Amino acid sequence: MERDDPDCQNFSFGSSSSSQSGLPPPCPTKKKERRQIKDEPEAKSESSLQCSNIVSSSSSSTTTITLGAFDPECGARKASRKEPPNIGYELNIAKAIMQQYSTLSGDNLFDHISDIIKRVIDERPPNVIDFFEEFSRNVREQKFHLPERFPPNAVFDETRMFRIAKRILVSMKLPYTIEGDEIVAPEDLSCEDGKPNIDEELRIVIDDSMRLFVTFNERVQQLQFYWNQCGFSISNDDIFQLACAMNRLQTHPSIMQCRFWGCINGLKASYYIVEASLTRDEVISRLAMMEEEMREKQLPFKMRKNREEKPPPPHIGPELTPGIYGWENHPQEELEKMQPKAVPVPLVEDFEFFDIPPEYIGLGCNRYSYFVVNSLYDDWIELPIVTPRQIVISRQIKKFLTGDLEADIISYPCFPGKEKHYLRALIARITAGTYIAPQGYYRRMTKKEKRIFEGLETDEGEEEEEEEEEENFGEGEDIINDNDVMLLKNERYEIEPLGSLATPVAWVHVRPNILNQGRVVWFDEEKARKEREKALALYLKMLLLEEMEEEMEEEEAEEEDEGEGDEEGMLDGFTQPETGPNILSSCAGDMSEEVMVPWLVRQTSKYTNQKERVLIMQSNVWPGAFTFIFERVCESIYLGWGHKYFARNMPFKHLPAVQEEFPHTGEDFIEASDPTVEEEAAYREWLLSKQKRKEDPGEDLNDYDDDEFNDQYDDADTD
Amino acid sequence: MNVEYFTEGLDCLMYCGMKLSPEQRILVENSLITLQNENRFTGIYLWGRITATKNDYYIAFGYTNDVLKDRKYFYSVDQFQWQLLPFVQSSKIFQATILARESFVGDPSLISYVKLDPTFNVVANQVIGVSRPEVVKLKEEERLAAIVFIITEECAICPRGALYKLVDGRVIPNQMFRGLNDLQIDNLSYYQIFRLPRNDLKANLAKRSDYNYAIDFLDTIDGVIPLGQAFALNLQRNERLVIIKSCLWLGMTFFHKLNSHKHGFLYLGDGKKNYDLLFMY
Repeated sequence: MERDDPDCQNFSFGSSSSSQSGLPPPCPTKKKERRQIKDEPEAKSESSLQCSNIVSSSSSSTTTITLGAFDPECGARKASRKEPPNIGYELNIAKAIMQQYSTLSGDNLFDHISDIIKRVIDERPPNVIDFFEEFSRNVREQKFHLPERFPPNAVFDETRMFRIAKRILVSMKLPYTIEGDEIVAPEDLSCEDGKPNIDEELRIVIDDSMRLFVTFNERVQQLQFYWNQCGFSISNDDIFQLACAMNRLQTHPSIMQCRFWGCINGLKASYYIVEASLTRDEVISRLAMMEEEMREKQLPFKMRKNREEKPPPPHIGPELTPGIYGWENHPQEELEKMQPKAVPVPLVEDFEFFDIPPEYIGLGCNRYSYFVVNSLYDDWIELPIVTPRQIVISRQIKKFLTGDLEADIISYPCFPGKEKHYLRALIARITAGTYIAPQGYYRRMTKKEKRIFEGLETDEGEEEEEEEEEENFGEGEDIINDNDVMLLKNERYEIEPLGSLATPVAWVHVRPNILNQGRVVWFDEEKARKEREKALALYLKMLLLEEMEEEMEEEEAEEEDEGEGDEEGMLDGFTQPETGPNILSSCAGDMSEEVMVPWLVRQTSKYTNQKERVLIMQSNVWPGAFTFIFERVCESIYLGWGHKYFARNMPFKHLPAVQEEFPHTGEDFIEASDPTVEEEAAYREWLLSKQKRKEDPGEDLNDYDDDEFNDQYDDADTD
Repeated sequence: MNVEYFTEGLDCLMYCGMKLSPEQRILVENSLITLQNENRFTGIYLWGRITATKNDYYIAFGYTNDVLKDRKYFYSVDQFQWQLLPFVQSSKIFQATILARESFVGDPSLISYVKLDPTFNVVANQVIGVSRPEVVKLKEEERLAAIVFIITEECAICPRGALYKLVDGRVIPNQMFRGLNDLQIDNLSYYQIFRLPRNDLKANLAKRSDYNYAIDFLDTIDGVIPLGQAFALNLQRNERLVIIKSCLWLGMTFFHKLNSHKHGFLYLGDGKKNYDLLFMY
């Protein structure tokens, strides 16, 4: 068996020798004896084949036992030839049975049991008898494991951990390169250093003026301490990475301030979200683009300049067949007179639909921009602005976020956008609903501050332009609601004892409420519609003016009168603006049918010093939204799934009734009898004659193929 | 989650966003160890916390002989005095618990009234009669016991091999368990539900080719309906830690560390089932 195999013998010799060197040999004579035994069976292989196995196979772990077992046995061995009742000999036979190699795995029971015994003695696992099968399986499993880095010069497999570890190190922008990765950090630094030389003064001026308005607490590691005290936070490992990542964002020139907003769980990955406000320059440059786009969107279709002329659809269906067979032989004039047999296919009409415009960047729901990331070592991705429609629809659906910003939202009613838009709408809703502070903690801006904030006092032209623009926006909005403001921290806020804060009455909302319409500032749709109509009428008139002659002017005058009439009508049709709770209104007023107790009040501890405690306000409307206050530190955070609370289930909107079919008339279904054999024959002849006519003047075509093709094609048509 | 590695476990479970504050942690951990000694439990586990409007309920369980059949549940509102949760048997209570809309209040002796669904008499596909909806008196303590039972049945998880069935039929934590390895860790079929198996033993064994009678007797979570939607699996911490969250009971989080015997689940939530699950994918 194995003995014949040279490899096996080598292996066994090697292992036995190594084991002997590892163990102090009890006496040198035994070693000799073993050698002898080893030599013996080779000489008499036929007579004691099984005995030979005993010796030649000894794995590394068996030696401790075999060494001891061999001594008496070997001594008795020579004598055993003569006396049949012999323990040593029978032991050898029993051992040989156990040491028979399995033909499947090449393993044997003797080695395995001795391995187990060795492991039990080495490791001393508790209650090993109860788990003996499991233990035995483990031992066997590990036997097949290759030793680490075996063979030593082979390819080393990259582990998953290594991949991530590398990315984390790269994200921290260490001053040396990690192999295989180029670091761009030095370039970035040079950019940041280089820029201020040009417009250093300007930048400093703006920074100074804006410093007043920094209300965000950026120090996440400090906040983490409070979060830990309160019993909610992101993982301790992640907080350092978060601080690094936020630092990366904060040093970006277009960001004024940022704070950690929270974390929304997704199915495959969670989102870490940072709230940031942009610098004024950035806002202005974005506004210019946005304004143009918005104006374009509000125009009626006919007035749009770059309106795409859709090509008429390719002719399919009945209007193609003005007559009977062979109509294409007729001259063009006759064809025009012919009547198609059936009604043409209805075409899609453009349907004019105007959304409520989103609020401009830096105002209302889009006052702050949000940056998200799946894993903290990645680069921050900015979320798009939120539109009122997205907010309204997101209120009607409930979805799990997947962790992929570009994933589709499959829902009814259809959500206008991808997952990033849904996430942005969620953030806007949660922020509006759950950001609170004790009364007097924040204050409104004074007029002077407002002017500084809006950049009125600076003499630069850009700022003035911005102001003008803002005035322009104001036109569309009838009422300038003072809800849409940024609050400042009140320097004169006095620390209140937690006892008096432990009720929702003492707390106020510090972010503006979002109306049912999906905006912070109400937008008069009715008025916008009328303005559009008026603009369209005017535009058409202009077109007419260009084309028509002076005679028409009188009629136009009449039309103008009508237009004036419209204006009067507009005054009548004034709609009541929608209102909601004001900013800085008390939290005690938060009521809904679903939630009886909108806020839970908790203290972090009961048994410590009064001054060490932190008060937590926990939102029931948005489970996972927390606000804590400790002396002068008051912060809100959201850690959850992004689902609003429902006592039982969400009242989803039902699907509408099935649409009615297109109204058919009797003429749409004209039955025709199948052509008879004669007719078909005639048709073929006609085709052939047509073919001939073509061929006569022209070159030689491949008749056969052409014929076949035409035949099929025409058949299909006439059917 | 086993109290043996309480702090470490809480750290791992922080990926759900919530954990215990230092005071709560100290109180719960030490009072649970005391509870274990008083009741001579072999092992004691923190089950989780159910948020209520006044006081939160903390739930723990311990076992002596059999980790599945022989569990005793305790609850506490002050984090150190533990009371035995009653064992609910009446199906009416379970029905009422599922139907109850209000959130927990935090007073175990509070009694609320829940209107059950009406029952219909149906003969040959025709509704013959409708019974008046029954009103059930529901004590909050019983409701708590029922909800804890339901949640445990539906989404408590352990990795494959963590529980071991002895020859005499008892189930105990496997002390030889060395954790799942790199290849197994992100596979849902290597996680089992921490409850008495409901599926047929043969069905459970037949799911894998390398089955083991002592280990594979439990139901795996890849077969939980809705298939593939009931659990969300994430790898965290350089992909060395697996976090499984239940989508059916939001707040149930499970962790398991790669190649280590440490694993555990914890429920931190308001005891509300996510009935909208099927509309949310």
